[in-house]
Amino acid sequence: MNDFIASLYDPWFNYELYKDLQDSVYNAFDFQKLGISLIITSLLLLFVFYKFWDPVKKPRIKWLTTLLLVGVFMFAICYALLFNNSELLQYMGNYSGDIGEPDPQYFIFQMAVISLLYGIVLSALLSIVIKYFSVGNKHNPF
Amino acid sequence: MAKLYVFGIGGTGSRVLKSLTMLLASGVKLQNGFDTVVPLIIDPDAANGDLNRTADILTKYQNIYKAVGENNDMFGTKILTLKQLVDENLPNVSDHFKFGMTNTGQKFGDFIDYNGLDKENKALVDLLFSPENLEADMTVGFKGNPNIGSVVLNRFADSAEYKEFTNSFNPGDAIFIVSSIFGGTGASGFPLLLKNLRVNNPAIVNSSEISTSTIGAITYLPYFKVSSTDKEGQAIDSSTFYSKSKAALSYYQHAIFDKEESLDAFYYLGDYSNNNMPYAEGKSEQKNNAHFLELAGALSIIDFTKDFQSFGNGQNTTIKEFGIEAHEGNKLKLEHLGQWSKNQISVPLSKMVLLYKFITKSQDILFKSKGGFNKGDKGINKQFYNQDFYTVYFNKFMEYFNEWMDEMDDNDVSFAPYHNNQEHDTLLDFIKGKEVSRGGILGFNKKSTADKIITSADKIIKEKSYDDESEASRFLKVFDDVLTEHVNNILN
Repeated sequence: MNDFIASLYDPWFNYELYKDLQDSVYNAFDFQKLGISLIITSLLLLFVFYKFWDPVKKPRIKWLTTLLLVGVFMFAICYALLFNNSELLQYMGNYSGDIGEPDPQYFIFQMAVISLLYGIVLSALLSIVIKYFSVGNKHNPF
Repeated sequence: MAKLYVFGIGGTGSRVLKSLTMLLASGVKLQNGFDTVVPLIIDPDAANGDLNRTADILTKYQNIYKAVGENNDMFGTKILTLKQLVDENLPNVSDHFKFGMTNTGQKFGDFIDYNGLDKENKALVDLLFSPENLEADMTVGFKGNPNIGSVVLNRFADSAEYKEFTNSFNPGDAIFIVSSIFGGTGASGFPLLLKNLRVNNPAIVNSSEISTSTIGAITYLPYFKVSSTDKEGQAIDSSTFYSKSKAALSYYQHAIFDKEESLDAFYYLGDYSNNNMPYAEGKSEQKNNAHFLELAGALSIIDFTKDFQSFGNGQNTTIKEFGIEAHEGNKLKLEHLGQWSKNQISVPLSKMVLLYKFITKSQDILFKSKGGFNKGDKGINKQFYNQDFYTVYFNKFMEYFNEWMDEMDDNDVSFAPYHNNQEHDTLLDFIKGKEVSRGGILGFNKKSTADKIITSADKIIKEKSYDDESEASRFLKVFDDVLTEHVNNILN
């Protein structure tokens, strides 16, 4: 799973430039953790939306809000995970700002934004299935 | 299954039939196996506003019933015209509810051919009828003159409708007559109709069955007045209502109650109230506001079918009066009704009121919701709300229902058991004395939102209980189930 999730993040970065930082994430199995978080967070929030909240008024806006919330959660989880990655912390400590040297903090921010996007995309896809558990939002988003 | 023929005589008769239709639409049921109501409106004033409004309501009810089919609580009792008893496929036409005797269309003097009478008979007629009586235009009814009505309406048995009635009558069927005692048409029509029904004439089909059938009646004692300052020279004067009532009661005593097998059940209804109806001698001007006593009259008809088995058998006439619980103020709530009346109407009437509020206050939100009710093949598509069933019949009927409730609210005594300041989020907090949490300032614990109705409707569609029904039937059945659930929760 670590490999699969890593393959989703790799294309977003210049491999030659970010190789070390990405390896540090890979070595700590943080990609796998991100993947599991992505699935659990999406399922959990979508289940809360479709089964418990099941709003009648302004359902489309509330569904989009839920998706955004999944993204925000993923953003925070990614930040939390990567700021606890000791290898990355070392890179941060050693960061000098030289030309050609990637900024680890900016890398973490980029990773968090990518996680946010994947959170939204995955939630939208899972909605197609989970909506059938709902009573009042069986046809939300369509 | 048996039929109940309900004769509504005059304006009051029409208005009680309207109330009965509203109750049947709400889900109140006839009892003891009666499954069909045959309303017959007897009014010489064919343009009477009350009559035409009632006939229109009855026609709309029939069209809704036809579309949604049997086995419903709401709109679940069959209403047929005499013609439809012979052929159920005949179209629903409001004129078919009107019994003969309409459009007498002439002055009373011409009707009895006063000018053609010899001297002695003229003298006798002059003794019985005033010059004003002889000049009275009967196209608008008898304007509070039962002496005129008793002559004109004595032709009941000659009308085509009376023959259709006798032809369709079966053993086990029953008859109920609604009239007022203080006017003209009702006061004269009731004893004449009863007399004709009780005559066993071998020349009339089923006369034997009709003459021995169970017959009940309501007579309305004065319960409203007419404004005395509106028009000069007015023929109807409410100061004579009580004296006319006394005279008619005295006549009923020996013409009805002293005779055996004359009447099986008799209901008295009346009220000392201060409500003034605008003066109208008839035609479209006579369109009096609905009154709670007309609802009570409709309940009397239900009560008649409840006690049907106990009537007759050589017993004297069962006489009943309607009463309510002691209360302060002049606004009636559900809790002021007697236990039986409350059991009969609390849930059905509340359901109907809530349904009207829902379709007026929450329909936009329903349309935008994403549940199964208004989406998918087995829900209710948006096009449904543009079809005749909805626009011409259902929606109009609901408007009539709301008008009826509003009029009862405005009248004296006022029947006002429901709040009328609801919005979508407070819709379920609509029964006075049965408050439902509106959620407070922060909106938490909001139990009154109509979101609950939409969610319940979506849930029923999801359970696929009514997938095989037509769209109209599904619409009504789903709302029937949903509203029953919520109204029961509120009332209990």
